Amino acid sequence: MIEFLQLKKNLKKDFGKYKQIKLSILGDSATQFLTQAVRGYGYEVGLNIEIRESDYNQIDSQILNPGSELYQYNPDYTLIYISSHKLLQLYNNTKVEERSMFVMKQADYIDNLISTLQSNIFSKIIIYNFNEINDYVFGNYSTITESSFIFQLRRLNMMLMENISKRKGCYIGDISSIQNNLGKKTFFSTSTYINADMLISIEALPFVAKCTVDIICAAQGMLKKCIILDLDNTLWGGIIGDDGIEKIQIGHLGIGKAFTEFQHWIKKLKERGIIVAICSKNTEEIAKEPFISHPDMVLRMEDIAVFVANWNNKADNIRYIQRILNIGFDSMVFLDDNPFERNIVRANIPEICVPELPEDPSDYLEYLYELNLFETVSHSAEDGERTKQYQVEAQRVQNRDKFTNEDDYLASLEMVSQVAPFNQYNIPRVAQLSQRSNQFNLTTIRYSESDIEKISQSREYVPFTFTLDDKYGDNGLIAVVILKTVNTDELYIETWIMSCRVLKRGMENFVLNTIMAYASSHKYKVVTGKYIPTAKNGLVKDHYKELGFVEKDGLWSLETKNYINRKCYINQNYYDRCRNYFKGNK
Amino acid sequence: MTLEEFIVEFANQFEDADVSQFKADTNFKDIEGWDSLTAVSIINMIGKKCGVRLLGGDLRGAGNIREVYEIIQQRSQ
Repeated sequence: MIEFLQLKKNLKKDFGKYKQIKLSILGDSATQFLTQAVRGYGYEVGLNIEIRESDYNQIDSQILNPGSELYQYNPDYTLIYISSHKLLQLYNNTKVEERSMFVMKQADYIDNLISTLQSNIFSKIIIYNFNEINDYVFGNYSTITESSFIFQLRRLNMMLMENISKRKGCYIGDISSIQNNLGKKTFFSTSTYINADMLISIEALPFVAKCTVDIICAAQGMLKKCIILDLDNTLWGGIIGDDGIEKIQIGHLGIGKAFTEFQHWIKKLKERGIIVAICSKNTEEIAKEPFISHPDMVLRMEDIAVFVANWNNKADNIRYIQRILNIGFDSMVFLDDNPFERNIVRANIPEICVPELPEDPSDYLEYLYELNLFETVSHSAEDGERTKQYQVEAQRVQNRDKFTNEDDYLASLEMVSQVAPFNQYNIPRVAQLSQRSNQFNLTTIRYSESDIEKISQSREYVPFTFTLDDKYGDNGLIAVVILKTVNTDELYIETWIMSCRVLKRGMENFVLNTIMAYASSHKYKVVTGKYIPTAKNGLVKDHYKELGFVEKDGLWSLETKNYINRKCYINQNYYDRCRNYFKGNK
Repeated sequence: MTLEEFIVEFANQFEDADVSQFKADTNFKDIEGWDSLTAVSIINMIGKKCGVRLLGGDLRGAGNIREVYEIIQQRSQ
């Protein structure tokens, strides 16, 4: 882990080239070093985190007073750090007979703070949980004594998880786990506490800063979506081509155990929605054999979205995988035990994340846990289906080559799209798509679930979601358009995002036909839209131009009057409520 | 740790550290950037690198870097 001193040095560097994020830090202890560490860590990941630190111990007044500096600053993120030490002091001052109920009041207090904050501003909230302090007043017996501090603290952590999991736009920074990993002796320094009232030691600060910035990155859409794995000595011990299937090390004996547990971890990632791909220097049939017939393998062929085993350069193979998956290199992680291969990949594809895997496979998992590569701020049931969708995509790519004519190919797919407004079933997926989409994203506005809910209830907005189904399988919800009424004549496309899984299928035409049908049935004269360039959305630079829009001062517009439906091979399947969109008046 | 090495470590705790500014007889409280946070960083550094626990008063009482170094030498014997 990078040291605090280094993070402090980062503060002098040029942040100008990085994206600016406004963060407010509210703490009940001294937070100056934490502020420096978070800003310094932001530099490491390419974020210019502008921090407004509240005065010492001003959490209540900043949140409860509507005219406070917090609300004036209007931050993108608010970090709330209520420390275990201050909690202990409160507990000490609580009457003995009330201690069993101590944290009920605390949980209500925190809940009230968050509700107040969320009702006043549009800020995402990060709150740290409570690192454990055991005062040993009851010894080990405190674990079964409800009125003991540790009993109360652990319950509060549990209540925090339950309460916050029901909220939107609010996340927990798990500093309790950081203390568990580092040990309390490292996490907390009595001298730093006594001299400066800081409860996180200088050694632990970089870990806490990382945990905080990880959440911000994920909420900004800087996510890892795919893990690419080598096979020999990465996924199992030994070399399949030399040792043969019966000799590779996997299972419950010796080092095999490490590989089995590692595979379980990969499998859990896949079940969560991370795409797993294989990239190995091997003969394909031999490489696939363990996945098909080894009894101790955890990963099977159905877990792998793209399987590449050949004797080509790994950088080229990863580029091939990228073409099939259609996601950015910076959302990929490549794991290989061989430093030579790692360096080749790093040198050729600098954006990809290539962890310096430890030499001893027994250390793989602990090392990867610490890196926390797969942070996320959302999870939907559909995520687990992703691998299957990419396998289908690989099939589609192969099939495409059979057709010489693009139209014949598209017609052969028998595509159907369901158009629907936002509803309780698709809101999590819509928010997630807005957070994850970087390439096909015209304005790159990130919406949280609560933002989406507000939009769905507003009369000013007209939201559409699109699914795409074809004869190979269902792609799920793959496009979102949010239209905003400017006046009775003009409808503005505030957001148009699409999953890159469905590029080149005529989905753009279908979406535009839908927008124009809505606009003309509601007597709008013109539909407008903007392209706001980012480092990643060059793909849609000419999007509006290609669809026949005309530009003036950065605003693209298309008149409804003479619009002729664009050619597409997708059939509509309107959701009932959406059909009402096309009736009625404004 | 020699006095020279100590001076470098000491200087590193200042935000705008120009190591050449720091000598054994430098009164560190006159250096720009000296504040209570720097003091906390220095006490922490001494704890980790020298294994000696200084108190806030030790730094307040010392006139220059050499005197801080001498306190550490005494305590670590």
